[in-house]
Amino acid sequence: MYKKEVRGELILGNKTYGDITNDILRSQETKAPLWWWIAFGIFFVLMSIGLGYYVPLTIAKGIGMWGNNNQVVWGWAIINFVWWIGIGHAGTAFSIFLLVFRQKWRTSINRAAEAMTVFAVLAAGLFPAIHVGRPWDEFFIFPYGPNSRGLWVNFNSPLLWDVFAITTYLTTSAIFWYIGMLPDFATVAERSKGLKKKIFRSLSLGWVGKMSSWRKFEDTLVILGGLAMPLVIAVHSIVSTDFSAGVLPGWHETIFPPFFVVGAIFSGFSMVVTLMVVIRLMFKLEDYVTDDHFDAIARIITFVSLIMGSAYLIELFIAWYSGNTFEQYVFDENYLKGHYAAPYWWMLIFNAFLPQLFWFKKVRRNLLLIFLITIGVNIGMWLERYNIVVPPMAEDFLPAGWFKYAPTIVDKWVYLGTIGLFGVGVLLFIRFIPMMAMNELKQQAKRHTELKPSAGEYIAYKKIIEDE
Amino acid sequence: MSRLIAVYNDDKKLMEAADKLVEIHAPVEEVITPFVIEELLHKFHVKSNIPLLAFFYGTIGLISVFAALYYTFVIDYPLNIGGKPNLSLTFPVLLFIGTVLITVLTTVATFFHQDRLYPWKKPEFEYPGMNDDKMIVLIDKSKLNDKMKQMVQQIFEETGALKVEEV
Repeated sequence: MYKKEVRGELILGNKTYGDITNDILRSQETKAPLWWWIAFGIFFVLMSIGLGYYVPLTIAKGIGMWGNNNQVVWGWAIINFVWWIGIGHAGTAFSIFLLVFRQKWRTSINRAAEAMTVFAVLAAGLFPAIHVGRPWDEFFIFPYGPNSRGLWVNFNSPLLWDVFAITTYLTTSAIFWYIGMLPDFATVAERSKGLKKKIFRSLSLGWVGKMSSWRKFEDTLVILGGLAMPLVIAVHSIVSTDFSAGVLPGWHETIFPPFFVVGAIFSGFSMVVTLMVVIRLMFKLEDYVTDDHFDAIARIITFVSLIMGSAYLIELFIAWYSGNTFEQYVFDENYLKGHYAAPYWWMLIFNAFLPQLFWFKKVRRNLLLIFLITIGVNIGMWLERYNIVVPPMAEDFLPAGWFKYAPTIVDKWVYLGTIGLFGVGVLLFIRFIPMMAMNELKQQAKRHTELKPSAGEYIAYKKIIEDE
Repeated sequence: MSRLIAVYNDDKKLMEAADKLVEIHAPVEEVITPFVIEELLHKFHVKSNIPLLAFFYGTIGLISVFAALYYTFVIDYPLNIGGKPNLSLTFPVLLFIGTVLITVLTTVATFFHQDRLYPWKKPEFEYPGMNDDKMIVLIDKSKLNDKMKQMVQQIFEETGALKVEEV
């Protein structure tokens, strides 16, 4: 029952268990390469300026520092929030969906995807925290009891669901990530000395790979996975309800929840691929992140891209079919040929057309093209959120109220700051934490030895063939 | 506690030894492996009650979240929102999320508690390479009589253990 095989070898190069430990821990046991310091420096500067200067500026002077105005009340903050949350879905989508569906090829990539989730959700969490303008009043959104007005929080509001959904999602993802790392922390502790040993031993919580421990470990992970899987769908459906519960043309659509969930998985998978290409090239891990891995993800991205494409078409069709002039204006006039045609068409190109190149095997096997296409998808998904947020508000029911939206320098730097935060987090992760789940890789390596005939079996087999 | 330990670095040999040890009902205390070997867990009938407990926690969580929502929205402050019923259809969203949150936290707490995992804990057993590529069979020596000890040692030798030690 454990020996079924569809995908062939997931780890190349006849690795022994010891080889796997050495290969994966090489990135943290050797000195950091130059590119790491350069990348870390760039992201750290971005983070320091964005979060160290422009976020305090927003808090000190207020939301007036942003490009939001009376007509376009939501701007880059919500765009970036939804974008980061979408990327944050990769870890769960990748790690947990594939865990629950018993897809063994997840092993090389799941740890990085989970790390990404945690940092992306942290980056996303910044925006709701600062967009209220007076963050010090934030505790009023938590149901700590009837507040000063004698009211409970409104449990009917999608915005409140968001608070619960995202904190639950962050908690669950972080716990899932951490528990999966316990055995690997023990491995690092065993191989290191001094302070590092103390830190990692403490992180491993005294893990010993007993049979009973492994059973509990596996059961806990599958349960967390099973619970987090519907949570992913719930979280992004709720984010979409923030929009679709509004009566604005372009927002008031029943397709939004599935559309958002699929979009999130789309951008998340793309971000994982982008990162894995870098990790594979920089740390020479071709044996672990094989061409077959990229092939498998590229197939999923193609499929999801088709869903995205059909969703865009359905939106256009419904706008026409509804006969609602406001709806028709947003889609036909504004998106396809109006003021916002450029972001709309770029979104279509990046999200719906370019990933179709993955139908060709040559493209699925070309790292550079994979890298470029997935970067394109990330840009496309950002543009999609821009198209959802800005054009419907900028030009809604009353032409007299139409107003243009332009982000300010503060908007831009806060966004760059979160990119810096994400980059710094990911770089620290690949430097200090085993970036692939070693215990799971060893499980894969074990399966390979089972699949391959031993030398004696091979000779016997050859003899049978020759006799025949 | 004094133990007899055998060290392997090949899971096939380890499984062979496990088969034989189970056959003679040797007092195997634990097998420590650097990764999960499902066949081994099956062989020794290792089970956990975490799935059952998680279901139990989920049920409790669902009930308590419902109680909290019902109290705040129906009993304590039945706000009239356009004449809509207070016991509203929006409950399931928060019921689901609350249940997940409670179940996740309690299940993980149970895992930590059952396995006695906490920060700064010294591992209860240490052997160089046990988290890398060594698999270790621990036998409780106090439960070994002379005959059994001989048989166990023979099994270890036959299956090619790297090392057999008494610690």
